This record gives sequence, structure tokens and C-alpha cells, in this order.
Amino acid sequence: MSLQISNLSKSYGRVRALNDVSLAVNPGEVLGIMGVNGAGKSTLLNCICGFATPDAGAIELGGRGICGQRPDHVSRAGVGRTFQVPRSFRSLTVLENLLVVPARGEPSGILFDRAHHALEKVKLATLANNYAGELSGGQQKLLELARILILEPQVVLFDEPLAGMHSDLCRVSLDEVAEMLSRSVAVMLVCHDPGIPYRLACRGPKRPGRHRGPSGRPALIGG
Amino acid sequence: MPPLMTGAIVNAVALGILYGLLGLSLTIIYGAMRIANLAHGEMVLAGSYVAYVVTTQLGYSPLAAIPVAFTLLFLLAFALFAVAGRRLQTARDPEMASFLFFYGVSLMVGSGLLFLFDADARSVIFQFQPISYRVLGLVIPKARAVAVGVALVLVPALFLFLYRTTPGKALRAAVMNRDALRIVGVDVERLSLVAFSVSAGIAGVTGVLLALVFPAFTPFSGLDYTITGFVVIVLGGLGSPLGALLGGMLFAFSEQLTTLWIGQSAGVLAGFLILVLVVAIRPAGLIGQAEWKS
Repeated sequence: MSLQISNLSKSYGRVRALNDVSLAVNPGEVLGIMGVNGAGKSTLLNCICGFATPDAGAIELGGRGICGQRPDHVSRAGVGRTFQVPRSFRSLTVLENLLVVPARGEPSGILFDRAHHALEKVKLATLANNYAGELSGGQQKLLELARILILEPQVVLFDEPLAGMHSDLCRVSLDEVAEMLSRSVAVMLVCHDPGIPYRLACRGPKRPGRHRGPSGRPALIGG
Repeated sequence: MPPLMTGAIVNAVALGILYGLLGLSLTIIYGAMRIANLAHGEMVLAGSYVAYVVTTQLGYSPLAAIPVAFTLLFLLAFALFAVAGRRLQTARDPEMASFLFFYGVSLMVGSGLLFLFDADARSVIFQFQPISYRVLGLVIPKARAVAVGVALVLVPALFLFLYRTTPGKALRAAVMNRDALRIVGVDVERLSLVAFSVSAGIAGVTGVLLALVFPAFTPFSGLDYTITGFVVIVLGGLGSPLGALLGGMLFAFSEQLTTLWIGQSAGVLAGFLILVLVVAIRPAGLIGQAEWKS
């Protein structure tokens, strides 16, 4: 499924966080969004996944409008997201963090197996019964990644996925993103380091601004 | 140990578990939804009045009042939340908005009870057989034993729900981080609706049990329960179920022992004194982590 954003605008008071942003991410593509703090990167993600309602514009997921929908609806429509500061459930165990996901009509045993599998992938299986609050910052980011893996989303939005992460953990994370891309997941990546999307062979406008989604891979387009 | 002392301790344990139950339903709502239910005491009181109607007016056992109180309060809360829940949750300052809204609800329920039952104190008139037990020289009224017995079933059941089932874990996850729960596709609004209704139902049951312990109540007793509830959860740590139980015990023990040593009027004072001390030294409460704040 592709994510299509057209003419999106959002203001907070007199601050124009998003100004007529148009871009698209297609299956198997990674789109890097870069910009200084306050450029509107997180606002863009918040508008997509329903935490903020844009003032104007449209957001389409596989041709279906999701603009202004509630976060849980957007999630179930197939959009996954991580946060810049990882948001885990600190007093639940690592495994339980994955099990609070609502059942999709499948027996709980399958969800359990999938959760274990996801934890193995991000190398957290040995910590399954530890509390999430006991994990390091980097491990919490991996936990968020595992949470996305079991949801099997079609579009994934990463907010600073590697910031403050040890290089070994970075590799685990990058491998998973690469594998998602190979499964035709559309990936949007907010980051400060142009090297990351570059390594994933990316394309991307430098900041959400007045430009149409250009293509070419990998390519860097200035704003 | 002198018998008075033993009696006070037995009383404190009994009251403590009931106060814990009072706080438990309140803390889940506050933690998971940032809803300060100022009408909690009136919901408890409504449960007491259900017990009054079922026993004194209709002549059934107080145990029969338990499912009635649960159902009535569940339905009342469900209707309230269906009307105002969404608005409260999306308010810019949900705590203040809910505070005012539920202050209104508390006045409404209070005056509703006044209209239905007049201002006179009412009590549950029902005699268990036998009226009391004699254990190791202590006289324990059966009504009190029944109340504690029910609470002793209800509290572990609630904990089992919160710590062992998926909806329970989701509810605790909502206390920890609402947004993260929404992002994985949980319908937090529906979860809130059910949780709020169940919490009100439990408040109603708590009212039935408290009616067995405290002899008389008036339509104005609600505020006392609300205050006790909030004291208990602030003591234990907002949003912490275990903290509510601990806070309830601490409050009941300080109340009972001070009553024994100093006097009745000092009893309540001691509880509040401990509250001030705990808040001054450990603002997050005894075992609170204040993580719902983030």
C-alpha cells in the first residue's frame, strides 16, 4: 500500500508547522524526512497517524482517505509508528508490551508465537520477562520495533529510529527495516543523519516544504 | 495484647480492605483516563441506598443487593460516559474538565438521593444468623465479616483481571502511556467506557459493603467517601492498584489506632496528617511511579 499526502497544512497558533506538503511513499520505498528541530517533521507524522488533525490537505492510504481518523483506526488500517522518545509500557514485561495489541480474531496462541518471534528478531528474547522500564534507551527502541513487527503494517513511520543507539543495536534495527522494505512495506523515516536513509537507498526532500514528491534513488533533493 | 487493641486491629484490617476497594476503582479511572471522579463517593453512597432498599424495604439479604448495585451503577456510568466521555477525554485539560463535570454529577446524584429518600439517616436493617462470631474472646459482627469476605473475593479478582488478562493489561498500559496504546490499534475510548462503567459498578458494590460496616448514612455522606477515596489513592500512588490497597490499609490503621489511643475526633486527623507527610516526603505516593504523567 502506498501513502499519499497532498497539500497538507497545519498551524499551531501563528506557527505554521506544515505548509502545503505533498509527498508519496510507495511499497518497498524508503522516504527520508530531514530538517532542523521545529521544521515540522513530527507534526507531519502526528497528522498521518491521527494525533493531530491537519487544517487542510489530504492523506490517503492505498487510495483511501485516513485524514482526521483516530490513531487506533489508522493503526488498524495498516500504519505503524515509532516515537522519537520510545513509548513503552514500563511496568509491563517486554513480552506483555507486545501482547496488549488487540486480537485480530486469531487465537491468542498465535499472537504469543508472533510476539516471541518478533522479540527474537530484535534480539530481546532473553529479556522477555523483564519489565520494559528496565531496558536501556536503545533496547526500548528495539521493543517499539518489535511492536511494529507483530502488527504487520503496510506503511511504517520511524521517528529518529537510531538516535542515541549503540552501533550493534543500530545494525539490528537497520536489518529489520531493510527486511520490511523487501516485503514491500513503505517506510518513512524522520532523521537528522542523512547517512541512514542513504544506506537504505533512499530518496527524500530535505524538509517537508513546498515540493512535490520527487523520485530517483538514491537522491537527495534540497529545499 | 489487650482485647481493645486486638479489636482495633481487626477493625482496621476490615476497614482497610474496604477503603482499598474504594480507592481501587477510583485509581483505575484516574490513572487510565485522567478522570478525577468527584462523584465517586455519591456512586458508593448510591450503592449503600440500594442495600437499604433491598434489605430494609424489601427484606432480602444484603448479598442480594450486590448484583443490583453493580448493575445500576454500571448502567448509570455507561450512560454518563456515553454522553460526556468523549468530550472530557478530548478536553484541553481533562483533569479540570472532569473535576467540574463530576462535581456536577455528585450534586445531581446527592440531590437525587435526597429527593428519593429524604434527609434522614438510613441504615441497613437486616440480621444475619448468628449476629456475631466469638473468636479468641473477640466479638466480630457477622455483617462485618460478610463485608470483609466479599471484599476478600473482589479485590483478588480485580487484581487477577488487571495483572493476568489482556484487557486488564491494556488498562494498565493505558495508565502508563495512552498514546502508545492507541498507536498499536487499541480503541482506548471503548476501553475507557467499559473501565469507567465497571469502576462505577464496583463503587456501588463497595457502597453495599460499607453499609454493612457503617451503621447509618445520609444523602450527604458521599463527600466523605470521595475524600477517603482520594486520600487513599494519593497515599498509595495515583494509578497504582497495589498502592490503593496499601493506602487503604494505612489510612484505616492510623484512623483506628488513633481513635483507640487518643479519641474519635483525632482518628480522621491522623489519616490526613499521614497524607500530608507522605505527600511532603514522597510526592508520588508510597509505591507510585508518577509514570502516568508522561
